[in-house]
Amino acid sequence: MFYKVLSSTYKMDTQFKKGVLDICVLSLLKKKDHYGYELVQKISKDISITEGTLYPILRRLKNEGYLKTYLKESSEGPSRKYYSLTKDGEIKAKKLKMEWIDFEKKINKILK
Amino acid sequence: MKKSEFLEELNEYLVGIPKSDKEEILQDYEEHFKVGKKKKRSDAEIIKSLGDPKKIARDVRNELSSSEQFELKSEAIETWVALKKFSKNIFNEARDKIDDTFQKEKKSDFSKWILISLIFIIAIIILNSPFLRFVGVVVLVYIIYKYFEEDGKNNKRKTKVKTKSQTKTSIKEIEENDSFKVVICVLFNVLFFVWFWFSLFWGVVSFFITSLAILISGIAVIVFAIFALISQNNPIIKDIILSGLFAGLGLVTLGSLFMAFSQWIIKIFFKLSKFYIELNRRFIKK
Repeated sequence: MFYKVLSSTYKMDTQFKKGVLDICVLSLLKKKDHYGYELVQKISKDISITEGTLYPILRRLKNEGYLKTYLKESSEGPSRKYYSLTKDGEIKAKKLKMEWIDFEKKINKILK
Repeated sequence: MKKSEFLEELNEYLVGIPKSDKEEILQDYEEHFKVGKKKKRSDAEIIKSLGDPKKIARDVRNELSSSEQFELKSEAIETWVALKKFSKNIFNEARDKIDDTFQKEKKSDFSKWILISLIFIIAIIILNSPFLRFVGVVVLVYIIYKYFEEDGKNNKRKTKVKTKSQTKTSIKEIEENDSFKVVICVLFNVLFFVWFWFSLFWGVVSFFITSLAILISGIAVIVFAIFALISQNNPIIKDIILSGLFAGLGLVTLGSLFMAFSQWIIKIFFKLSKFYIELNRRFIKK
């Protein structure tokens, strides 16, 4: 019981970050298809995450049906795994973006 | 740490993840290394930015499992991996020493003691007799005495042995241990700690089972009371049964409280064992 209360506060922080990362991944993929390394670099440039955390998230999004992957030959070396949005993924991306804008407005109102 | 070591460690921590998921995750990280190398980043740099494999495995479990139990599971798996690493370490040390004994004419200082202690450990595990344990303690004391005696005698030879084993380490990439400390550590653990640990372990398990039993009996009482209520018409007996229903509810509450508490205890127990294994590792490292 006691530890559940403790871990729930810890979980909220990670849950928040996770949600933000979902938005980042989905909207980056909306612009164009990326391969894993590229995504990791683009996101970790602005948001401080350990780079390893992103792959499990990609994996989950794929399992949930928002992403699909395909292999593509690259000019420099072996073929790479590219991620692209599915139909569900596009809808989800739109929805998350709206939610985020709404959320941002509310927070800004409080901060004022 | 190297790339291969990183991937292997990640593989070890990913115990219990479905095979298809696991393979694909490992492939993802391998690709990450390959692309990073193309972008002129060193393996060490990439590993540093990727973070601890232990944490990655936790993330994977967190993302992929729908249950809330992933944390407890992670603790258990991390304990298991730590134990595996630790025993691998000891095993390598023992093998090296035994190799030395057979290959070289000149026996190294403590190889025979390691052999003796190994035989003892096996005998103790098989026979579990108090007499053997007593003998073990005597041997332990004797080895400590011997060690300090020899330590004073020849410091020169020790440094020689050290440099030799160092070159060996660089080839085989085995963590270098102090053989004396390994003997002490293993003997201490087998003679005292393992039994203590097991009794604690069964204590924790039995606590969990007890709480489960309370929970189930509570549910059984409730179900029985409901059936009895439906079939009875006598108001006095109905009242008695109603109080039984409340007793059942109390049992269920108590059982679930105990369950939550036992989960907490199991988690702490795993954390402590992990800590203890790490302590041992640090102790035997030079």
